[in-house]
Amino acid sequence: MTMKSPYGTHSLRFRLVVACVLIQTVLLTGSIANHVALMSDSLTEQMESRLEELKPLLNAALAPLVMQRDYAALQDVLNEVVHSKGLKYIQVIDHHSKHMTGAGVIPASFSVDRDLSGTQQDHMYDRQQPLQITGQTVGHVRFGISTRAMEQAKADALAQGIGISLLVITATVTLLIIVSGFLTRHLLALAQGAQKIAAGDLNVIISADQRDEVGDTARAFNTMTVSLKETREEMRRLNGQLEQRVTERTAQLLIVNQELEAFSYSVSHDLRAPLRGIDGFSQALLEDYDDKLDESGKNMLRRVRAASQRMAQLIDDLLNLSRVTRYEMRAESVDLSLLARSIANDLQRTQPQRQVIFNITEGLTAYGDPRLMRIMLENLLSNAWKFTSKCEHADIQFGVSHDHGQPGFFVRDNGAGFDMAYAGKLFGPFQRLHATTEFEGTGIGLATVQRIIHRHGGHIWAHAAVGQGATFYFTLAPCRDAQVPRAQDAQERPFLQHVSMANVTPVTPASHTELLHSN
Amino acid sequence: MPPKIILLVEDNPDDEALTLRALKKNNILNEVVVARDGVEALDFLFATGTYTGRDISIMPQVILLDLKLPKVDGLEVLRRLRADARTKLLPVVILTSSSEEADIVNSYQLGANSYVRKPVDFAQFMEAVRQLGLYWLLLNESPPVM
Repeated sequence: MTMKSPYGTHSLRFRLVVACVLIQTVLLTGSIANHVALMSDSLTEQMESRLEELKPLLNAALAPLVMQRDYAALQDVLNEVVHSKGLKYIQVIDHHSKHMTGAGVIPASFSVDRDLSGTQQDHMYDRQQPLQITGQTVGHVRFGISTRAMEQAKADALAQGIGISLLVITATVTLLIIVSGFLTRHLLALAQGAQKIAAGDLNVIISADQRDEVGDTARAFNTMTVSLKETREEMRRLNGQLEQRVTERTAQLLIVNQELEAFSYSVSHDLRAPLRGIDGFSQALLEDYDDKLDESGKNMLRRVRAASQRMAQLIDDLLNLSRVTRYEMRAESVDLSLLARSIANDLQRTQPQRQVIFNITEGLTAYGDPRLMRIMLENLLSNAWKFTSKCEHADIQFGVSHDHGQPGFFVRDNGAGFDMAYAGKLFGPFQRLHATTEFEGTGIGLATVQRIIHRHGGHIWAHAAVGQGATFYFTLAPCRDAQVPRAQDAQERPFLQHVSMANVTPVTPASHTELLHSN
Repeated sequence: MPPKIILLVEDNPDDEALTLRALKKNNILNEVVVARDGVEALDFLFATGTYTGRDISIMPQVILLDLKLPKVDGLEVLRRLRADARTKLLPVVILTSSSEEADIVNSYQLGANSYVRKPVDFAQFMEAVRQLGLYWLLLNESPPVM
């Protein structure tokens, strides 16, 4: 009937039994030792009192005979005493310690007053006492008493104690095995139930018919199982609801996204078509009615064309901004220095006559989407290019600075700069800090840059002063293989020394087109 | 030798007029058939509907196809063209305002030969039409008529 415990010497039952045996052994050993000691004391006391009683009797019977040197009477008395008092021997010596007479087996050696309680080697206890008549010692009597009986009694008590102890231990162990078997059987049942629950089966019911603690435990277990089952079902229900809600929201988002796509598409396609008409027919007018239009009329038509083309640029920039937001990123390690160098070369090719020094720190890498990184750097560098167009010695730098605790990349120029009072407007779409006649652009470039930086978990900020150039700082979320080497030259420069240029504007549309057209 | 005609599929009359003007200004004097929606374009190509009885051996040298069209849109026209043995090899140039990635990808997937975005600047538009005419009407060898 007992379930075999799978735990061997680690089982509760085994440890319980071992502990119990150990405790009982210690307790019983102590108890037996105590019992034997008490018994020994009592026996010794008995013997002592017997000997004390014998003392006056012997003195009364022997002292006169010793004085009279009546050997025959003395011998008789001694024989009588040896037999009647159960002595091993008795011997009378005179006051010169000379043997007078004796009875029984007189030992060769004699040791006085050995400890009675200890076990004697010869099982003998010897005593000597003076024989006195009116205070005068006439001789001594020596006698020995057997301690065998007392030792036997002690050994018997010890054997009896051990026997009882063994019985008690055996009985306890048996009882324990039975009880713990009963307990562990129920514990095992509980453990198996718990394992089933852990495996996900909540239909476990443990038999709980006992009216005791074990039964209570089993009942509590069953209650817990039921409650767990209810909780799980409730969680499943809530989960289902949540999933449904997520599905609904996703569907809604999808619809909104589709609407946004449709809107972008419509803007891209439908808003441009009329502009083409305006531009095309204005040109047609200029060509076909050249002789009928005066210079003022022609000028107005040219303005119509310029306005329509500018509108087209605005539409394109706006679309590109929204694409940067929607574009699905694929992040990898990007060599920003290499990218900056390639963009700088492109810029130089657009206006080969310009003398611009590009100072690009080598080996700057970041973790990001390569296409978005290119668009971002293109915007910043072409801004720098544009706003240094009126400088005689244009200087554009790309590097890294640690001035704000974390490594920040920067793009710095010595161009037109801007008033820091308007820095707040810098990154808003269509915000411009310069007149179109001064520097062209639609004001979408920095908004695009900011979106790209934000999508990469970074920040962008700028420092500038009118006529002293501008510096744009940006960070990208630190990622596993992003490494930003410490650029010495950047560190040595005071943070705000070089100020900056300005703002906004466009980005070469070519890069956006590339974003869309590749893939 | 059959005449080298151009099929222009364009619903916007302004764009139509400007395209025709650009062709003329560039001295491209080939006959241009204009279809103002997808159905009309398919009717012309397969000699159905209003074009029933047309000599189907005369196929356009190039089709300039807008994507956003009434009734049947440009991508569907392209799909049906490519599904028919008579028209599946015809050169098709997508000429549209859209520069959406999806449009470009879908067009090429359905077998477009080229994709050109109409510039707003008429000067650029003229240049685009000039190069298209030069390439597709003079340089490019047309597939044999099926």
